[in-house]
Amino acid sequence: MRVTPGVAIVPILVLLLTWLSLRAIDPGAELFDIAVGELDRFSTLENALYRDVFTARAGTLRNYDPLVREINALHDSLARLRETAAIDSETTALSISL
Amino acid sequence: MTRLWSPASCRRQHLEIASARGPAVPAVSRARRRPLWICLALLLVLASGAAAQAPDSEPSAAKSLADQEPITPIPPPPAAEPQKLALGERLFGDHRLSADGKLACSSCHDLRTNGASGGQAVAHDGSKSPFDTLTVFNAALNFRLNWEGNFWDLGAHMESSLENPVNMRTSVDEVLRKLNADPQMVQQFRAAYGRAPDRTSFLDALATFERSLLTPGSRFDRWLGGDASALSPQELGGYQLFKSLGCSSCHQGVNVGGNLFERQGVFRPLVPGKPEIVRVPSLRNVATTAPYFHDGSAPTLEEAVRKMAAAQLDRTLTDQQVDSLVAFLKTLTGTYRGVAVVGASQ
Repeated sequence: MRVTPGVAIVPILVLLLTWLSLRAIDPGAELFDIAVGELDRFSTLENALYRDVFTARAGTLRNYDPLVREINALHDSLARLRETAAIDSETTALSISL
Repeated sequence: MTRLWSPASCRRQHLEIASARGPAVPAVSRARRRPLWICLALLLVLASGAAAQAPDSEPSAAKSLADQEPITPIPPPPAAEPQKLALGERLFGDHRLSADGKLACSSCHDLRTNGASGGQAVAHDGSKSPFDTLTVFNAALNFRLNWEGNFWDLGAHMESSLENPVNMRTSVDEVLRKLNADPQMVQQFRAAYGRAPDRTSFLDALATFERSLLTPGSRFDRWLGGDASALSPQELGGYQLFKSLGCSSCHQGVNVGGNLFERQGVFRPLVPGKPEIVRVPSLRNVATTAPYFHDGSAPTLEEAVRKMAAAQLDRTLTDQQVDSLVAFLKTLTGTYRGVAVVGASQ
């Protein structure tokens, strides 16, 4: 009869660990990674734009196409960040309501 | 512990190995010789890699030329789904895109000639549009659309063109109603987009087609690509003059313009009235797109060049300089679907 407490602990532990695992699942983690990646990309583009503006100021930029490309890319990046923020706010609202 | 590889560490290991050599410890020696062999193999790999890269690192004439000039060659049209492209092309020539069914996009943008018409677009009542019709060729390469540069997006521009009270006088909703009433068109939309015509698919099909309207293969682009015989000495002289006068301050990049705004009539009046600031037009196929300026007031390229030099650069050009510049500008005429772009018949 000494085995009984041990046997009883096993399912409790399993249940506890399962509950902890479920609690540890973060559905927003992927979204967070995407957003951080996009922020990095935005930062890189911004730096490239600054570099090319200074190059133009120095008179060594051959044409303005790089500036156009970088500005367009910044707009695209901003749109993607806004989309991510919109999804994130939906997720947050959902989790609050739950 | 991770040991980073370096030539110094390699040499140190080699010395250690050399000092450890001896008849008494042959097994250890063999074991210690292994890093040496690894170092040698790495060196061999690096050397062979450098040798393989050597031809690439030597800048070819074509690459160095394109890298040094303010103008870059037109790229090939972007990859697009054939069904969407075919649908866009069909819509481009569809007269249901105007209220009275008399005009299509191709009515003012003739793809058989210069992608434009011979001047201002004709309104439904026979009057003329206030602006000279811009060519649709290479329009997708411009950073803004229209003379005033008031559109960023091809879709928004198309929507506005459809609603233009001067010619098309319709709306996307009205066009969609007509298209949805045509079973054949609905079938083509379903094949391309998996659904019946709607605003997104309709504008996307047209934009996809418009992005394909590029005219690569001009003689100047061939010269940029390394073909020294593509330009005559006079044309090359014209290009040098184009740069030295300062024309290339605004007319540069892949579209030889189209990537900035500029005030018109800086030193002398150029075109009376508004807009005072225009999106710099592209000079691609410029020899085929007379008349010139946003009011179409310059009938010939020679006159346009002379007026531009005076108004924008405060320079009075000689006849020889004008001829030279015009000779260069004529080399910017490209091809559409393998056929050279030609001037409008009007």
